Amino acid sequence: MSDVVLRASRFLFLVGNVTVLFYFALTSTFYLFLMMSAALDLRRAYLRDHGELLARFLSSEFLPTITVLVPAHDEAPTIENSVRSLLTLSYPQLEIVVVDDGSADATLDTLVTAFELRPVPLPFDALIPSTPVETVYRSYRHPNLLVGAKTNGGKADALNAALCLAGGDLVCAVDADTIIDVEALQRLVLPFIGSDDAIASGATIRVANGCRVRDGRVIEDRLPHSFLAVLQAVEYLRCFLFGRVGWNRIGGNLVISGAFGLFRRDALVQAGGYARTVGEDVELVVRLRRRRREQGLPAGVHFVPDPIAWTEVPENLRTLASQRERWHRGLTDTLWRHRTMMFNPRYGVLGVFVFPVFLGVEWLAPVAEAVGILSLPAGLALHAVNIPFALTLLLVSIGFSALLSTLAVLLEEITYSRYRRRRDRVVLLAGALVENLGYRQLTVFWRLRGIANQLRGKTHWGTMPRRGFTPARRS
Amino acid sequence: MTASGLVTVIGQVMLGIYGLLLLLLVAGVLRTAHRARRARVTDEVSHEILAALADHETAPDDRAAAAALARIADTARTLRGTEVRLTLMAVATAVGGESLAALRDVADRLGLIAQAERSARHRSWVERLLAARFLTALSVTSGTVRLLLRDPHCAVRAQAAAWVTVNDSPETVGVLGTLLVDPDPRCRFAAKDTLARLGTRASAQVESLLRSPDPIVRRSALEIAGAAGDPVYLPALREIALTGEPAHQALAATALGATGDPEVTGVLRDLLGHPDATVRHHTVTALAATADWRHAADIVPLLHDRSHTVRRAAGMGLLRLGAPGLILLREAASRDSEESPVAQQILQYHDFASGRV
Repeated sequence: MSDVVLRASRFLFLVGNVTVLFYFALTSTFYLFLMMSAALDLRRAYLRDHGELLARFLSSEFLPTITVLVPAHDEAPTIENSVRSLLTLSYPQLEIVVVDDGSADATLDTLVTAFELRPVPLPFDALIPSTPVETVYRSYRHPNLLVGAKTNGGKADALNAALCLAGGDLVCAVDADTIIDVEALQRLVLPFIGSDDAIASGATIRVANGCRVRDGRVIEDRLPHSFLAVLQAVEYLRCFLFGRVGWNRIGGNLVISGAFGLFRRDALVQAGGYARTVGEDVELVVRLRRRRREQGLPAGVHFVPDPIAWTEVPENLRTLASQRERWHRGLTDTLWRHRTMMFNPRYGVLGVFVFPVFLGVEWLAPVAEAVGILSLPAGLALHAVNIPFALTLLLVSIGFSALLSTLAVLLEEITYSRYRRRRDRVVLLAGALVENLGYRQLTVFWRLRGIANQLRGKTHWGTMPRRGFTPARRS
Repeated sequence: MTASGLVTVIGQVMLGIYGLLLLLLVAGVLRTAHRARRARVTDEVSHEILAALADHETAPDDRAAAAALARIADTARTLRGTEVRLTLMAVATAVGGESLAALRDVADRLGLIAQAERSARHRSWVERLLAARFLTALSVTSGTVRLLLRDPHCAVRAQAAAWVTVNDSPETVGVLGTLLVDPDPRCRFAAKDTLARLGTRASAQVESLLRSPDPIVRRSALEIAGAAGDPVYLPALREIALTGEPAHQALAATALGATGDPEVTGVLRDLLGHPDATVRHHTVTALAATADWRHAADIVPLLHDRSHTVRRAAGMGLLRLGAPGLILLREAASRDSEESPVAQQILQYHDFASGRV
């Protein structure tokens, strides 16, 4: 009897291993495809979007107006710098709307003092339901800065309130702790000029920790001092430089980072604004694309690699764990909410390819990796493991991931080359090589916890303590 | 093959890939360092060229001017390959008039214009695009760029459309009209923008486009007319305002207001009662833009329009009409009527804006 059980266990182990191996081969091929697609797109975008035509477009009468929406909740240490950074953005017709979402700290007081805010009885159009905005302030110094104060209703609620105050053709949602490159909006708006179907465009987000900041602007890109943040810097490069750029070519972008993205205001209002979910940025893009597809309207979501925004990332494991867990809960929630799109030809490439890939590659990855990791001791116990082969597979798996990260670093070096210091380049490369030894396994665990928590119905957001940015000394 | 053999092979492949990657990375770093070094050189050269151009402009005689030009050419020659072209392009964006003509002269002497003309016929669209950019930046009159207005690649067509701003002729302006229905939106945008920048030089073309049967062309022409505010478009605009589709009527109202012509008020008054809210909104704003206080009384009823956007525009419009508008707003605010909420809000806003709060 025990022999039969042993055989059955070994057989099951073999089936599991083959499945994981097959999954690994499939995802690897897909990532390579994304990488090649990204390399081609980066070259084309660089050639097309640089030159004097861009400058001419930017001084055109017909350029759309942009409102930047900034939801702020307990952002006192960073809010002044963030808003200053937004006010220095180089875009001809720009409005900034900050909504203080019932902060317990001095976020609103900081804004009132720093920008000389005065209450204004502005005619308010409640296009989308949100917690009522109690007071609207306008800055005496910067007439294009509006601030709304309301009781806490969550990030999505704050964004919806900001959307009601906005007057631009396009709206750009940014996190209050985000610093945006001065020319970023000029490039982010290009898909709306260069494409008939554009409803949203997203940009590259980089890690702000360690960067030198002056007057709300990043004046020098530097890597963070904390190695945990360096690993996240590598992750961000990999995700944005060829993850999202790669999706561009097949029209499969489903994520516009909540930290920095541009949307058509009318499309956003028609879709009902931001939803109160943990992953509101991914859910919004999916909902927008779905609704417009159902109405037979264009629904292009573009990613522009060039414009850059910087955001503060967690420097301790606890906060990072909470963030990653929340992100994966958000993805799980979105996939579940829009499950009818899965393999549904009515939604075109979105239904038959993008959605299944997000499920199979993005959502399922931690499960597959956990199965792979956990099956090793089980296999050893069953004497069903060919040790040299298993070690090679491990080496290939880790090596392939390191290869992707290294290529992302290389792509950054060849294209934008933001990190000027030799030390930063070496540390970044080291980060790309060791990221898969321990750090990635931790993220697998956190993401699994995200799935479990979502299944248990947890909806909390968690907190992200802000340290503020490193100010650069004036020379 | 045994398991250990397989392990060795895979290990070797991995090592090979890593070696290659390392080489690529080193090459990338070296390239970046080289680029940074060359960027410093081209910056210095740009400054020297700008200084020589200033000398050229203030030269007391032809000899001094020629010497300044020779200095620019000599300085530019110190650069390598495409650096010369890129540097001259960068300098060209910072200068105009005589200095730009001098720069063009230098580019011609260095054979860069002839080279760009050749590149404009190149098989690769990238070469054609870069050539068109160079010829546009230096405002070169070129028959080759004219051909690029019908280039198969959209990026090249858009660049050629921008070139027309500095080299307009009835033929090229005519082609811009056809580019307004180009399949590529960037080309359409470039063509519309160029027609607007050309101003009165493109009036005849825009006027004919206003009468185009194609709604897309008509819409673009209406936007251009709105930006220009040229009274030459009045007859066509009046016709569209009265008989066009609502989206066009709204744009025509804006364009009529932009002309500032007192004769347009009759048409605009008629449009205030249009069933479409967008048309009413545009009309109220256009009436306010004429700054003629006599329209204030016509705008007041729209303070209780069913659309919030129109109500707000009516209030703000009355403010723009100055004292008469303000008096009517105060009257509306004091009355216990449908107009009072918006009127009160706008007055509070006015008090804030004028520093009374």
